[in-house]
Amino acid sequence: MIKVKNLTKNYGKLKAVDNTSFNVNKNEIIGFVGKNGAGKTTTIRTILNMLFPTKGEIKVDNLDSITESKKIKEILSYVSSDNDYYYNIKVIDLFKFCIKFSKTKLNKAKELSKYFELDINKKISELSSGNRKKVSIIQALLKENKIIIFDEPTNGLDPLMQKKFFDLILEEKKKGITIFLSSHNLNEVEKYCDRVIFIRSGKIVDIIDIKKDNKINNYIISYKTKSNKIEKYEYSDDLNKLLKKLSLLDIKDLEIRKKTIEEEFIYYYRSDKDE
Amino acid sequence: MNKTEIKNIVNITKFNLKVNFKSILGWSIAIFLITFLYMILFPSMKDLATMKMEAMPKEMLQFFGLDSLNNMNNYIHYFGMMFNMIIITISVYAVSLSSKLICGEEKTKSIEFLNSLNVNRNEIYISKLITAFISLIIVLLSAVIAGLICGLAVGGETFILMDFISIVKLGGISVFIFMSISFLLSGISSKMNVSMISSIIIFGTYLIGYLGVLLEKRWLVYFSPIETLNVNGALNMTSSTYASIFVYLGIIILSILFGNYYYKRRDFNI
Repeated sequence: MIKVKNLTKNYGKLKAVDNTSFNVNKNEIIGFVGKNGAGKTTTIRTILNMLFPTKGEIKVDNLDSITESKKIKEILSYVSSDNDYYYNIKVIDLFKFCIKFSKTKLNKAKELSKYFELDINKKISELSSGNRKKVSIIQALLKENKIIIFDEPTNGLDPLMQKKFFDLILEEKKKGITIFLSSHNLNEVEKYCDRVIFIRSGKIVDIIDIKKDNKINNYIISYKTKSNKIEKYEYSDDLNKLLKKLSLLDIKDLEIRKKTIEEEFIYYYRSDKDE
Repeated sequence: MNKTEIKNIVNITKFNLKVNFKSILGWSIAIFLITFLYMILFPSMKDLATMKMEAMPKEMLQFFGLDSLNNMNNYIHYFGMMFNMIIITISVYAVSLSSKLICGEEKTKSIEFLNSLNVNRNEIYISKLITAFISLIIVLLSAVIAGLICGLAVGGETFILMDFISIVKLGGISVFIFMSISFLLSGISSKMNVSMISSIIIFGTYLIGYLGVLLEKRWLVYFSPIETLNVNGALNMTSSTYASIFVYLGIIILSILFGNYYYKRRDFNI
């Protein structure tokens, strides 16, 4: 659905994105993870033709991101990490404006506002940052989308609204929509995404299939012996073999659990020597 | 340009006008009141103004474009002097509005929202241009209406409608020259302080024009649209005035076209 090929984006001497390539498949939820300044937002803004690539090309549903950007916007919505709108207008007026560019009816905006408990008669300047985020999410869902790009969508949302948001996203996925989710919240990435792209210093360092990839399905074994010696290591072999091995030890405390995305993230970012 | 593009431009323009409604209204009221207050005082000011003009140095009169207007008992001449100052004020609003419409959206990042709608950069640029044009017409009209009302009320025989229209028509061009320069600069880059640079251009060209009059170097005057298209120009149209209007219109068109060209090819500064 999205094909990024050898994308490089320079700001003067700074390489914000460095020869990056990845694909986003149809109808998947893909996580885009990296530290601040890793190149996530730059990549997204280049996909959306807000920035021009220094090198490389981007295709969205086989449409070129530069020459066919308007056609792309017919099928793609975007929720920015910043919730910046025209502060002096009412939410309802913003939605009325949005639907002029799509085939959606205002009722959909009203239904979504009710779902997210948003007062559409308030001015945007009167909303909290969480409520402004809701405006951002709702306006993105007003189009007949094939793809939605979310940049930090749950920032500012309370846990209840976060759950409501992801319930809605899973519904959208059932309709065949592809979701591109840039987030710092690794728990939500692990819980809802099919795959995760790790980006560091503008380069893709890994792409993990959460359900299939061994890196995520590895076990973290930690135990404490009676002599209070603590051991912790990663294990990827047969569990029976592990249990046999552990039975030979004089163990006081034991924990066996699956490795988390957070641990994978820390693995990639624990050293900044390449940055 | 197809039907959808025109529809999109109309929709964005209406939305921009709504977003900027308060600023347009505020400027219109302010310009109306300033013009009205000055022009309504014409009967009591005309003798005083004539006396003051006689007392003023020639250079000062040249600076205000009044050197050939020795009759301040004439409403049209008095309005012409005032309108010159109002044009400078509206020009400052023109550059500030134009840069706000293009660069301001990038500074506040609301362009991320606008750009994510089913529109292209050409439609965004044209709609911003139309918004600026309509806003400036409204603000200019508020000055014109105030001048017209006062002319009818206190202008007496010296209020000649055709001369009044000539001054307004010619003076108004200056505002759109500076608006288009601001669109050109905003189109090239939103990283610079377009509003400030354009304001420097307004006052810079005005000073060059003044120097041109002072040093009797006519070619310098053409650098200043405000000086060239002032009340003297409007009431004494010569072939060189027509030629300069032609050049200024060319500057407006080229600035808009080049501004659009660069706007479509540059990164948003977000």
